[in-house]
Amino acid sequence: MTDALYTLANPQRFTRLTDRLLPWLAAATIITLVIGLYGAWFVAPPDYQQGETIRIKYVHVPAAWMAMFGWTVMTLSAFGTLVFRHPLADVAQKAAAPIGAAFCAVCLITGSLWGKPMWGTYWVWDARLTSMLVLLLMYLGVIALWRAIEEPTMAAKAVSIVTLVGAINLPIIKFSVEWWNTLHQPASVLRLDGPTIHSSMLWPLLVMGLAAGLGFGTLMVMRMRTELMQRRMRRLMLTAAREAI
Amino acid sequence: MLDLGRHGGYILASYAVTIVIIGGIVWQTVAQYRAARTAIAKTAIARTGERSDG
Repeated sequence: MTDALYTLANPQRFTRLTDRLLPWLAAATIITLVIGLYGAWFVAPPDYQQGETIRIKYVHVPAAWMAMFGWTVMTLSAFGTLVFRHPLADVAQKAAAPIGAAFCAVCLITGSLWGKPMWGTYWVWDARLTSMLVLLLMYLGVIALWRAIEEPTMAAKAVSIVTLVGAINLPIIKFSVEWWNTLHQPASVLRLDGPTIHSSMLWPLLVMGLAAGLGFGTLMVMRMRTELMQRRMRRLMLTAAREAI
Repeated sequence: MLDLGRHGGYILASYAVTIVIIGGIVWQTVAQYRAARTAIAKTAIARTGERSDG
């Protein structure tokens, strides 16, 4: 595992590897998304209490998973930046933030649109909803921090510290429905005693989750490659400027 | 055709919002990727005659 990480430490090797990987990742995302959407819309039955509104769950839940996954990736990358000084760790961190923020926004908005017909309100200051909103604000904060600090090494260190501190919010989000009396229902998929939802609803949800994960991976690889190219571009321009003096 | 019932508007709005936000991040990612590829290829060729896409 460690060897594999160090093998990828060379940006050129990473680019060569992802050259081959990227089309497969994109294709797998599209295929799983089509299967997941088919299952969510045409196979999964309406819920006996929620009716057709349950179909919102097939985008809301995977978005919530990806929002938390994004911060987990950033936390591991922050650790890689500060402890191992892995040359791609800060690149991964920078690439994951906007994707995680997008999924977090989707989670909050779709949850709100589900809440109105089911709870009678778009928003309550419930522990799960509030901790998820805090996650979105943290995402926006680290994106702003990357842009505010011009020197990339300094920016990476500052973002890494904020990311590691912010990681405390992940268990709070996960266990908020157990620690506090919330309007949000408890976990029904990621439970120690197994999922509590029927298999006809579970498999489309898991496939949609897989599609979201593959989509996250595809976008992240593309954004990492973009960042590497932009850094190389800056180096080339600096060299050109030095030669011109 | 699926009958989405009286809450159909909320369901369709949820999927529409998802398409807009995720579509937006996909569009931005692809646009930046292509722009960076083009820029670096032009610069590399102009400087050294090297052909590269990253």
